[in-house]
Amino acid sequence: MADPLAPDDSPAAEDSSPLPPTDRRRPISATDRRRGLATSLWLAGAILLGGLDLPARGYEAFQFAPFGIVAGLLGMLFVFVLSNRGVIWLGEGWIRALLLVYWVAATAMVFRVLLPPPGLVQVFLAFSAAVAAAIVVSQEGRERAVLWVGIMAVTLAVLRFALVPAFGARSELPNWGPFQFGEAADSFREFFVAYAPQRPAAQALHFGALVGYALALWVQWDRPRD
Amino acid sequence: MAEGAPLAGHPLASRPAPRPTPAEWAGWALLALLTLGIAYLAIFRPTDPDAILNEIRLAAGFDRYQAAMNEGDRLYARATADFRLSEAGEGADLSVEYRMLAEAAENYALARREAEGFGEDQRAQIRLFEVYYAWSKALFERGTGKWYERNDEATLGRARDLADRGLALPQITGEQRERMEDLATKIDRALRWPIL
Repeated sequence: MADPLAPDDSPAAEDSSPLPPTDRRRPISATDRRRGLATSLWLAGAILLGGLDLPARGYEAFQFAPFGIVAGLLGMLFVFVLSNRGVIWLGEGWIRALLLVYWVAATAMVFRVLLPPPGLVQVFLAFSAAVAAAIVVSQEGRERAVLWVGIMAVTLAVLRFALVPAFGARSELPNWGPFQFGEAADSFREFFVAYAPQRPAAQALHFGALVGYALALWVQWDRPRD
Repeated sequence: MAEGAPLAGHPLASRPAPRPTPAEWAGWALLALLTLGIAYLAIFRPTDPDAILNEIRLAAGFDRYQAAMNEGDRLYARATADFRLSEAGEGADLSVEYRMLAEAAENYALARREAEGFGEDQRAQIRLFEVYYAWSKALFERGTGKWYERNDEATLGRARDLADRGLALPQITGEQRERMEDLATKIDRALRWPIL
């Protein structure tokens, strides 16, 4: 038996309905509301943890660094791609507006966590992530789309958390008297990546942010009945 | 929908969703709290739990003298610890530490304005002097080059200016005055003989 609350897209149904178009929408059910709440909570947790940095030097015990314009644009792009592939559920009505804000902010924050600090390396990886969005949108089925997002995340994480710190620690030069090789090496290195070391606990926080994002995907994975 | 309305009983008419349970209300409250927390962190950019408490006390006007002294002490202690750690690396960028000392000096100056009585004002002046001394000494060491390098006269001039500010404080101890005068003499010598 057809759901009496399900929208009917046939022209006949549209013509015969006495209700104005806005009233023909499916009302927000308690299930949708709770699914939206659970998703938003995990996403808010991911935003909070992903924004926290623990600098290794300086007087800041911690600092909250919101995402920049590059991560923000990548977040918008990936939310569009993932909702297009059916990976993320946006709901309807005010739940849709709420989830859209949280998904974009959390996705942008995930990119802030995964992209290396500003420099030529970040430029290359940001372009690569945009190309990865095209690969994701071309996948059949949401499992394959999620798999490609996961591959991109692992690749970025390896570069951000393994390669960049190793490069930063092993590319120093000494200052030999009047020959300031160290300063020249620092300037040259920061052209590629302006690496700012963080305390080891920062990686746990950022991993927590990624876990929160994955849990947000998981709690809304089962589609609500339309 | 009111009885007798033209759409009453229509299957597509919107039905009110069940009211949220107390647990769901708690979830929405938690979401609002998290969102407010994120907005607070993003806008005000606090960097230390103690700093948050001190800022709240300063903004609330509750014991502003002690809050300013505590915040000044915190920043001064971190900066001097960083100076000791960076002694091994001559090329270390100390701009963050200089900024910390500037903020510490601002806090001690605020404490002086909030001081009630001679004792509180003198305590603030003694701490303010130590900030100027540490800052001036760090700039003096940074501005004095090796024997084959010319001294950085702009940095030394800034160090001398800070030494003057420290010496201008009226209620510092005799030992502090003597220490700063020694440092000022060394700075003057470095300024007069820029390559020695």
